[in-house]
Amino acid sequence: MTTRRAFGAILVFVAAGLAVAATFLSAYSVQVELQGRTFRYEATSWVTERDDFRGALLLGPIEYGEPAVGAALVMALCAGLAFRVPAARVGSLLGAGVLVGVAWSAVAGVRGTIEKLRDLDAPVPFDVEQGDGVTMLIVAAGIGVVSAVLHQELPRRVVSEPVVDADGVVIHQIEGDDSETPPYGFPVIVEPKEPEEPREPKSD
Amino acid sequence: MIDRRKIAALLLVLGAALAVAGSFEGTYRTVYRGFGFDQSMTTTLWIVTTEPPQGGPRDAYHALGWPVVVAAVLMVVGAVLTMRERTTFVGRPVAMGAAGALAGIMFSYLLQVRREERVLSELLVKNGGSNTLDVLGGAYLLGAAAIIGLVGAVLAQQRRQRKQAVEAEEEKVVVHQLANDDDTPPFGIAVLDDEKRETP
Repeated sequence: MTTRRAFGAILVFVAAGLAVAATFLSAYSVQVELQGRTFRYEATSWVTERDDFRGALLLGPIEYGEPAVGAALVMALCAGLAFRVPAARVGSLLGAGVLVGVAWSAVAGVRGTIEKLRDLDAPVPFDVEQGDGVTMLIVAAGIGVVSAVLHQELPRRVVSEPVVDADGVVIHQIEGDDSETPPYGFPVIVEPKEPEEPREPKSD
Repeated sequence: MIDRRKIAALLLVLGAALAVAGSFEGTYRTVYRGFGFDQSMTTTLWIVTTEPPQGGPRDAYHALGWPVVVAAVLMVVGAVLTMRERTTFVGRPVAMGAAGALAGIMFSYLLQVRREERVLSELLVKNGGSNTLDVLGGAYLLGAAAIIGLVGAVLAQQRRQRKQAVEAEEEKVVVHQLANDDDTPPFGIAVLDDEKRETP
């Protein structure tokens, strides 16, 4: 596993963590000032946290909790599994794709809420705000895509194809740094020899 | 081998086509019966039409038309790229990511429709009417598109796995055991040192 792929795997875990965290943060809020009082609605992706309108606006959570957690699980499991089974790497890309879809749906959900409240033709304007949860989900999706692509590490193996010489011997050229063993090996530090030499043939 | 690649590309294109077609079909219809007449609203991924009509169609609350179209286009791009040997390595991740995105969009949409259904059933108690929500063909079409797309994307990955397995085998270090006593012993053959060199 190269450094880039390992870095990708770590970022996949970060994206998955952010995605799960995003589901517990505020997804959106609706606020209205009425006769000096502030009415507020606020929801995460799982539950309504505050509803001063007592259900009159028919608002509800934007349901991205389950898909986001599902995507995060797929990403994290595949990134973990990929340390053993390289083919599992593609799962992190699947999870990242799902996350992008979910994030886009969540944004569309917030837009839809703005639209819905505009249709009510209320005398006072509703102040609809996208919450930190949706913003964090977008960030998680972005990191997810970048990390999943890093994690794939598209093939560069063409450069170092094994060379087969005349005797049928396969020579692998390994890309690496200067810290590798030099062609004639490292010089051995010779210690002063002991007088006895056990492996010397005793023919005389 | 080539057949599998073709099947994968075909499934990806089919999934994309179904998704785009499904986005224009009605996904669900809500019927409100609290107004003295039946007010029905048919939703696609783009617009909502009301029956009897009330000032023309308006944007859907969960307007996921564009995300679906973008995912579908990427799926087709991925399918085309996997068909060419040179670009396959780009096509596979694109196909997988796009199919994942479509699945994510549809999963979210499905949950949102279910929530809408729950809200409607709560409303039922309040105004005494019997509001209903019917899931229409478009929703099934989109669901099928997401599943077909995922199957296509997974099939498109198959060949790489096999190739990798072969590469992994190739990279194994081959150890030759020579069955001969002339072999070099593990610690090398003892060198007969000169007496001169030994004494300092």
